[in-house]
Amino acid sequence: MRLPVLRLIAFRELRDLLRDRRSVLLLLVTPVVLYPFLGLATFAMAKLAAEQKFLVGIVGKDRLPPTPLLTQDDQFVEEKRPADRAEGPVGDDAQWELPPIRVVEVSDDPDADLRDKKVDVLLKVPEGFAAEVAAGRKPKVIIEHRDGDEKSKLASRRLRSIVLAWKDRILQERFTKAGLPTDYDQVFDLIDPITSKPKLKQAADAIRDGLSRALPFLLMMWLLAGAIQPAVDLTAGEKERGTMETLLISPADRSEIVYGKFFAVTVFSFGSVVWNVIWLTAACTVVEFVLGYPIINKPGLIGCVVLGFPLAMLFSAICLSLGVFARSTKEGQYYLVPLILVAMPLALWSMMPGKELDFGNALIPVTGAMLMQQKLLAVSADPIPWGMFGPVLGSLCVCVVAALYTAVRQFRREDVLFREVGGDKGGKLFRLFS
Amino acid sequence: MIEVEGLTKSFPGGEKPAVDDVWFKVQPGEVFGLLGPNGAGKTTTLRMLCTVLTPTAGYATIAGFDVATQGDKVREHVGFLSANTGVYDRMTALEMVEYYGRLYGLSGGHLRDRLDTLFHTLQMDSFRHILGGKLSTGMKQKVSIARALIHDPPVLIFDEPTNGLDVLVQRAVVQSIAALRGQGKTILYSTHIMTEVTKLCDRVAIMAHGRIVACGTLNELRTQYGQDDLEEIFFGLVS
Repeated sequence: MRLPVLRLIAFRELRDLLRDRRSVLLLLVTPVVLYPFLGLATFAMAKLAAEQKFLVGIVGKDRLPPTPLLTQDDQFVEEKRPADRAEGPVGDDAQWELPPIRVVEVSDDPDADLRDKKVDVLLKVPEGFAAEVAAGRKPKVIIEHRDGDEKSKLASRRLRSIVLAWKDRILQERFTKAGLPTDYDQVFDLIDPITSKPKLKQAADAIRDGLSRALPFLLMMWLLAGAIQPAVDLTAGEKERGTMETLLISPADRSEIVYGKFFAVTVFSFGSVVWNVIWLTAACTVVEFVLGYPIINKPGLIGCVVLGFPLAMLFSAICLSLGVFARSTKEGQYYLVPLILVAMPLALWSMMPGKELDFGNALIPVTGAMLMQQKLLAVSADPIPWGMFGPVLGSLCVCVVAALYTAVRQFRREDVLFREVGGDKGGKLFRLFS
Repeated sequence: MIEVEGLTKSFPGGEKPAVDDVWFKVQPGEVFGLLGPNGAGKTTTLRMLCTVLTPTAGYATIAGFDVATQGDKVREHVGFLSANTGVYDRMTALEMVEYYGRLYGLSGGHLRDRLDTLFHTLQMDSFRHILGGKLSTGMKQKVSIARALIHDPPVLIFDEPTNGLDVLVQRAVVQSIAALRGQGKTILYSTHIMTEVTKLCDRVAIMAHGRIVACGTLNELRTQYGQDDLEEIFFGLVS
């Protein structure tokens, strides 16, 4: 194999791919538009949500006990609840700006007020509520919202947390009157590292954990998308356009042609992933700036992307060996769909809860690499299983070599390269797909 | 020189060989016509000579190199052009011909000189920087001719190179091939257009059902079959 010939073919193919507007639009321009758009959309939604004003109608406001106060003028008397009882974003984080919530007067038909959106949520206080509470009984307070109305649901959730906080204050008052400590009902202190974190940190950690599972899957899909289209274009597409035969008649050896195309497809596939990751990281950085906490493990992400390279090689080699079998671009796309169907279960297997990277899983192509990527991205006390790199990379290398060997063999087969001149081989099943 | 002895090609599952025991020789400075209807086995024969298909039996050499065992040497010494060979849509005419020049091992000043000569001779200067996808059919065929000639091969194989071209471009292609004969090239020309055969070919082989059914100069064929009209001879042999 001659390196200058291989390089010549590889760079020509790569330049050809970069001049293909469809591929460039799909793989390079999409992330440039998509991620900023998603970031802006998230911002806009957060801003809109923050600017929402919730209107609460209280039915039987005069039935509320004089102390502790639930409302003062048209405002709720909000107070921080113990973190272990937190059930909503009630001012336990200075950075969390809650949308304003206001009490408005209701008409004689409060249900109609709710229906007509004069109020977003109703708080119904029953007759004799104050007396019942004072007597130590458990009267029922009802919150009502409009079904299917997002704003009403948010208002209901917000009101619920305010009412629960107020309920705690009533309880504390009761304990004080009985000469008991205000935390009398707390039989022990529960230290939960998740709920003891500020709400924003909890949200950031949840996003980070989700990303560490989902990102390897996203990377795999980007790698596949980045390999399929170029591989079809450089194999079936070339056959369709009549340039494949020209190339076969040139002094380039079949293996040089395959390796040249393989290099181009791999670089394109991996390049599209790097490009996507750059824009995704930029979007994550903006989110981190808003939340004030990291949502992505950047060194892990770099490792994760690097581990994507052998996956790009694997997908490129498989796509080339399948793509060359097709006579047209359309047919090539049909042949490559099953590759997605094979890769998806392997990817989803790695995402199953409790699935760990062990020697057996490390040997499964795609699954092993994705489990390793998850390990690299995760922020946990577990050390990264560096010893598993060998089996993961070894398994991928064996698959890449096998796929490349198959691709070269395909490029040497007359019945594959010139399917139109071959005999009626393969019987009915073959004819069905040809 | 091209030497073909008993060349045969069978495809798996095929009832009969696509090419069956074909013999001929083409000398330098000669245009040898391979005449036959569609499906006669012309393209398969030419593909075997260009090493993209492997013969099932028989023997063939191009410029002294065996097509079965010295494929790389054969490909270095042959220029191939057919109606089906395309040009890259996303490469300019110059880029494409230059790319093939480099594949054939040309570089530097030698490659530049060859490019300038070919673009000038084939009157391609006006579209050298236009992408293949935007070229007309005639322009594309000129690019293909330049691509086949860039390494100045001693043997040229043309497989119905004027198929689908308009009369003006057909004429230009035929004239280019006639000029190449004057340069001492060995030319194998496959076609089913009689006028091209009479204008270009020194000798002709008529193929039908994978076999050569007649071979000789035009005059020899006319004498042998007692017909002046080549088309009548052709129909008589292939029908």
